[in-house]
Amino acid sequence: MGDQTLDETNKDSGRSNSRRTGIIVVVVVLALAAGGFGAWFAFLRPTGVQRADVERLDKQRGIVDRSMNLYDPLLEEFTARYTNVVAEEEGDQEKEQVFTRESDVIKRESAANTGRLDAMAASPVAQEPEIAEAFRRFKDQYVAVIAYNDQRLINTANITRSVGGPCAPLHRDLNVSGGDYAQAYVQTADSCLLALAGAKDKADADTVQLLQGIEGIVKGQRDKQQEVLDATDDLGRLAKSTTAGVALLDINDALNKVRTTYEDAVKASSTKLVDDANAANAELERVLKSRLDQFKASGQEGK
Amino acid sequence: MTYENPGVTPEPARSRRRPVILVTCIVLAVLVIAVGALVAVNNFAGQQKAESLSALKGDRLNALGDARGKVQPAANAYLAAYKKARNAPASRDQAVKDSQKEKDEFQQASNSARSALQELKSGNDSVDTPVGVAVHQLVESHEDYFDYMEGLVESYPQFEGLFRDDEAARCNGLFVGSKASTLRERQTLLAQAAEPCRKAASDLLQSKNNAYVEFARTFDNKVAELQERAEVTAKGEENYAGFVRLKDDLVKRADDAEARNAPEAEVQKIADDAKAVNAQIRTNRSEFDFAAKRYLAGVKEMPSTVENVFSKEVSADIKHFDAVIPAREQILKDTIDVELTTK
Repeated sequence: MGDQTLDETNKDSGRSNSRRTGIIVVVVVLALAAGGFGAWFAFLRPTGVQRADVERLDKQRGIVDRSMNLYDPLLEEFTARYTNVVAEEEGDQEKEQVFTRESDVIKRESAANTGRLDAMAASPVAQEPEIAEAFRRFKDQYVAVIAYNDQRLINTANITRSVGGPCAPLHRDLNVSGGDYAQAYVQTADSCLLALAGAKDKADADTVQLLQGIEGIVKGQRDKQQEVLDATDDLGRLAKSTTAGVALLDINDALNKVRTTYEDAVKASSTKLVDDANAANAELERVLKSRLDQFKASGQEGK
Repeated sequence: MTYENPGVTPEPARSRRRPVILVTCIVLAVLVIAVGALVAVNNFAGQQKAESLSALKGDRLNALGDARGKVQPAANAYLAAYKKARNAPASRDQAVKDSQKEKDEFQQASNSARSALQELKSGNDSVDTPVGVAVHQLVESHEDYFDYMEGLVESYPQFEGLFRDDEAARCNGLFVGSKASTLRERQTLLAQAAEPCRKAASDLLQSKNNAYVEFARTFDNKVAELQERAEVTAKGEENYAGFVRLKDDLVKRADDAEARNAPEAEVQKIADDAKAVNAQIRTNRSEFDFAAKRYLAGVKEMPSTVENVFSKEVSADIKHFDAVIPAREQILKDTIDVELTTK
């Protein structure tokens, strides 16, 4: 084999020369192609904000906005399930189970929404000067909506636990004309007041005000009934129990007033929150749209 | 290629460069091929991912929507069939048999909806991606819905049978007012009726459907309350006889005292005793009235407690699912769109 090769090398040195040239050409072409591809990849591939980035952020905006609509049905569901178990069930374990299951749904909802807002913040579009401000406002408003609904969960749970729990029998199950009414009232009121005090923990200002309002009313009635108990002679007891009974007539008005005040306050704050969020959403939508129009005008995919 | 022999090679210098060129050539070629392959694979994987996302958004979601849409009509058909069979009239066992076809059809609808959900879920529910999160939420809402509907169907005979005369629960026995001649008898009859009735209601606590569960809790409390009220009124009636005796006794004592012109202190004692008896009567009366009023109110609202399960609770729950599930679907679709533009 060695001989043959030698032979050929000698004979076809001209052809081998041209083959070498061919190889060199191929090598050069390949090197150029690779280098060119690398250069394109490194420098010429579209950089900066793309049209698709803007479209994507706009879609994400729509998703976040739509997600907020789920809070109402989810919180209604929580309230319905929790109210029933608190009112009708004796066992704490069952109550805790329903509470955990239903409140976890809302906690996961908020975690998902926060994740969506964070994903939006990572978009290069959100860094652009003309968009950054609108995005910041959007994010702030929607973070506030999420926080508001998280707080609503706590408020509802605390009100349900107290007003719908130990306080419920006060004006429902006790026999006003019964002989031991004063005794029963004081006893029930004490556990109600204890529950109301605990319910203020972590509740927001409006809810604390509601709970304090109820607390004031219950405490007033309780003290009147205590006076009945403290009265030493029959006549005194009768007089006290009569005034305490008369005072009870006002209780529904007083409770209604506290409740209406609370409902109005909640309505006002939620309306403001929703309005602000909607305005921030509309503004971001507008800014993104005009950013898209820029692409259209320049006829480019990138800038 | 024996280039090792320098003696016979005409151009030794150039010949030494040849292997270098060759090696460079090979290395470059391999590099180019590798880069090309990488780009192709990357592209292909991206393409595949995009295709699977498109399928998720299109076929999978549509299939799930179709399958889900059949669940509620199938449940309604079963409830209607069972009720019709039961009203025929037929026993519970017979009605279960007569509505077996509808039950099977419901089960089938529910199973295929669940497998459509499983199909959609498989490989897409990693919670690290936006699509995964949206899938997860969608799956959760659907599972709640399917559990709810299955519970609605499975526990229906139990619920429906509570007030039937031919079933063990026989909660109709709670309405004993006209059958009892005394309040004690009413209390006894009620206690007898309450036992199997409350047991049947507590079985409903195990249902997968929360409308039944919550009804069972409320109903059990209401029956317990009726029993308490019945006890108070029965006791009140019994006390009454005692009061009559006490009154007669007092009258006799007063007459007697008057006849023999008894001392002031004794008359005063009789007056005090009479006052005490009066106070007892008043208390008894007030407790009786209170309990009697509540008893009647409790009996009166019993039918609406039962009716509300379907007319209020179930329809509110279905409204809840109707609000949540389409929103979850739309959010998933939009999330997939976002993902599809990220390439």
